[in-house]
Amino acid sequence: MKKAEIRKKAYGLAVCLFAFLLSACSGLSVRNRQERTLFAMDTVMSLCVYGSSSDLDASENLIKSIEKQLSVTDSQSDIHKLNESGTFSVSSEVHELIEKALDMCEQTDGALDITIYPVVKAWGFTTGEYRIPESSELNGLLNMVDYSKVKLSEGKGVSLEKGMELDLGSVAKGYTGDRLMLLLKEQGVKSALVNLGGNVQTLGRKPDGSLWRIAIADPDDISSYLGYVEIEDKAVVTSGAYQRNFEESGKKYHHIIDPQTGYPASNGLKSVTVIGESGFECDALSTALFVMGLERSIDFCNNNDSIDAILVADNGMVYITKGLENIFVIQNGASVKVILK
Amino acid sequence: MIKTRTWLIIISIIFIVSSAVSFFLYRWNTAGTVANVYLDGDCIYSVDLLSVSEAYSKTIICKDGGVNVLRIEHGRICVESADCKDHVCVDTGWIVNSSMPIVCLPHRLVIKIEKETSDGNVTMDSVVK
Repeated sequence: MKKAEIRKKAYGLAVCLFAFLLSACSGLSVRNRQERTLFAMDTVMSLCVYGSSSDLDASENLIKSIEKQLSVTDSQSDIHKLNESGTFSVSSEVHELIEKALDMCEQTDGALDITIYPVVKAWGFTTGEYRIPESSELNGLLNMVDYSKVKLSEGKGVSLEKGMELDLGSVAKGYTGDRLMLLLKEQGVKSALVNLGGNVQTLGRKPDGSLWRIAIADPDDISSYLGYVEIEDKAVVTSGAYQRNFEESGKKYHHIIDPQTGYPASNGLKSVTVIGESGFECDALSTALFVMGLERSIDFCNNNDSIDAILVADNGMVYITKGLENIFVIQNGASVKVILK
Repeated sequence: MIKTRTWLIIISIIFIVSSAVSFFLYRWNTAGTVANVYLDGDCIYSVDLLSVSEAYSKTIICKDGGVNVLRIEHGRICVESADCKDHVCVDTGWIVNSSMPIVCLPHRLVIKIEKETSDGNVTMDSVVK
């Protein structure tokens, strides 16, 4: 056989192999998508992982174990035991999380307060037995709300003043998102998206190399979108008055309580979306900015470079941080104003 | 000895077959509009919405005894009525694609469209709300 013929055959074979591998790979990338929907932390969570079902098993186990540690209602949880006894030696993970959460309460000047639980309970948001508490009752309960009175001692000890109760619900889903991303990375997963009851967190890009496109619900009509952002390795968290509320005598009362007043926060915002690398931070800040209201939120964003936010004001105006200028696409036709940074 | 032209024909055939397989796999994974109904994480009912020619209602009795009545039409699905406390599932309205599920937290019911047709509209990977 001549050399030229051998070369031609080899060339042909290489082309065939390339074409075959191409088709096989395109099929595999789609088939590796694994999805699961589960109920945890009093919400529905959906996990989408480009990996194996064992990645989903590990993720589900992690969610359940965090829930077991942080639940305020499970009598076996660290937080329940702490609330019951006032002093408790929690696990090192919970201790670290409480420390981080207290730091966030400090940074937001108390707009986020992890000791607001007794007031939230009084409104019935923890049980669904909604009621409007008397202002005298609220004033009494507000005396027990003060994050600065939570004492962390050396080791894993945490103590609360009499009557105080701690709830990490405002950061738990964001924290869980961070832990899931770490776990999946360790498992070798390159691409994943989790939606933990409305908190979205992504790992890498989509398998085809494109960015994840995350829609943000329109606070005036949650079945449609305000717009969307395209992200990788980031979390997106929204807080809004529409999320959990009840109506009495024609007035709506929502679940985001202002720690200063004891009443649902009403400071000029319909919704706040925070986008950043840390799910924990996004979760904490979306609540805190909603409580702060429009003016204070704009100041806060201008003084904190690490976060990006979308603020929807009561008048429908949408404010975005400069970092989102080329990432956020408005869809409901609202006016968008970029906050200087 | 096989001539160059024969080789080219063989390569072309393999390429066409590979492309066809690839296209088929892609369509197989994206075509259709299947709504799946989950109760406590288990899929209890599936329907291809594009094959629905006559609208109908379907009642789901949840694990806690709660009732959600689904309305199913060509290409879309909603919760028509429910005896839950908050009625968030009913208020969500119709869903037509995979970007937003219907959730009834009190009854631990989730309705998701998991495969949809690509109709040129912008599709979302997830929704924050």
